[in-house]
Amino acid sequence: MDNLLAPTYEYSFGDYWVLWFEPSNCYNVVDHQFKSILDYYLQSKDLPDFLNALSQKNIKDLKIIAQDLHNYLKECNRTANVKDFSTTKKTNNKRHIKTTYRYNNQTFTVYFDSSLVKKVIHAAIAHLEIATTNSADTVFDIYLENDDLFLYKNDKLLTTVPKQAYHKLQGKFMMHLFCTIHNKPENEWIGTFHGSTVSDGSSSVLFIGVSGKGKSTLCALLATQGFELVADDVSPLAANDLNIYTNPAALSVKEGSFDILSPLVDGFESFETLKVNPSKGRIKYIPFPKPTQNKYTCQNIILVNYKKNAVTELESISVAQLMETLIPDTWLSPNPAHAKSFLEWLQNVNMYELTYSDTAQVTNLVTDIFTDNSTT
Amino acid sequence: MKEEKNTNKITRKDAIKKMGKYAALTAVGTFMILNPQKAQAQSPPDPGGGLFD
Repeated sequence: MDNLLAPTYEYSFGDYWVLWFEPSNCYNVVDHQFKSILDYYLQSKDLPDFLNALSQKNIKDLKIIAQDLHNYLKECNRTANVKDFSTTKKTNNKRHIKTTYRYNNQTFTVYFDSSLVKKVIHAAIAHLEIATTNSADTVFDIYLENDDLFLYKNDKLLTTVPKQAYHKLQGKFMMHLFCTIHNKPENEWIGTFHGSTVSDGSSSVLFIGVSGKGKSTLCALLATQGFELVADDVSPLAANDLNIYTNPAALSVKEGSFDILSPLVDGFESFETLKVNPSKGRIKYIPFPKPTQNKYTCQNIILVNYKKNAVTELESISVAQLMETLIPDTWLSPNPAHAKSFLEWLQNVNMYELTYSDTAQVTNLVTDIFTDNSTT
Repeated sequence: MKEEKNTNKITRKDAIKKMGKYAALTAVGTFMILNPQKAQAQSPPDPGGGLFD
């Protein structure tokens, strides 16, 4: 029944299965029991066939389960809406501030309509600014109109968002910054993970976790202990080589971490501090040196959990625990080939949860992960 | 023990949604529907702490 609604891809991960549905680009993590019932349902010719197949399993309310499975499959197949910006006209008198940046021998200019709008993206990439009057190959426009922010690249509208949702414009800008500096169009990226990546110079580890759990602070710490910061907050994965590419933005840390990082980071006080809102704390942007390579393989994803006074430890976690945090905050391409590549990549990734409080212990632990990685 | 912990975590996360919509299904197995972001985004600002607040 409902064969047209069956998952597009199914991958086994130990105690769980991960299912992917093309129409909605949604991922499902299910246990073996659920998968087995779903398989019976999809393989059954009709409702009596399904009821007959499961009648020996002593499961109550089979008709209601069949109805739930139908509703569940409908939900997983709900087509995702794609916004169409093609009819939006660009306003041409908004180029009040011009700033040009350079990274990887690629130069790009951004025009802003005000210093407030400039704050949306400049603080994180201020260290890339160059003094030049030459024209850049790539030109972005960012401006505010009627409480909406607009982002253009070479006169083509990339996105428009309500001004309070400026983090979405930041994300779109970073995506197209990756496209520019790594010379890859948007359709050659599998996704942008909400997480920070560090490298030992040959491979990388991706740190994920909900906001406030200490991933940026941890990555800043590691970057002062000989590791390279590959990406902070947004880590892009490319389709062709399944590598995580560098994100040139400075690492942002909240005021709560200033005391820990101040003695460890050279010139900490000199880095740009942004007072976003007087009632809230400050954010500091720390530009770490450019990594030795533009891209790294990644075989370890670590869910970060900073807990004051906790014993520092690393535990293997299930794909369910990992994906519960990873997927909702991540942009993943809806292209079926990309979804397949992502799931196959994930099957070869080690998944851990790291609880830490002590900075020396956590550095040793991450060093061990890289060492294990290089010997296996 | 580990399995039970994982199962509890999933059930808790979507408990209200699932219990309401898929009450019978939750009795026979664990499942979690996860939708990625439809567009790229950075970390949102803290509530009330944005540039335009």
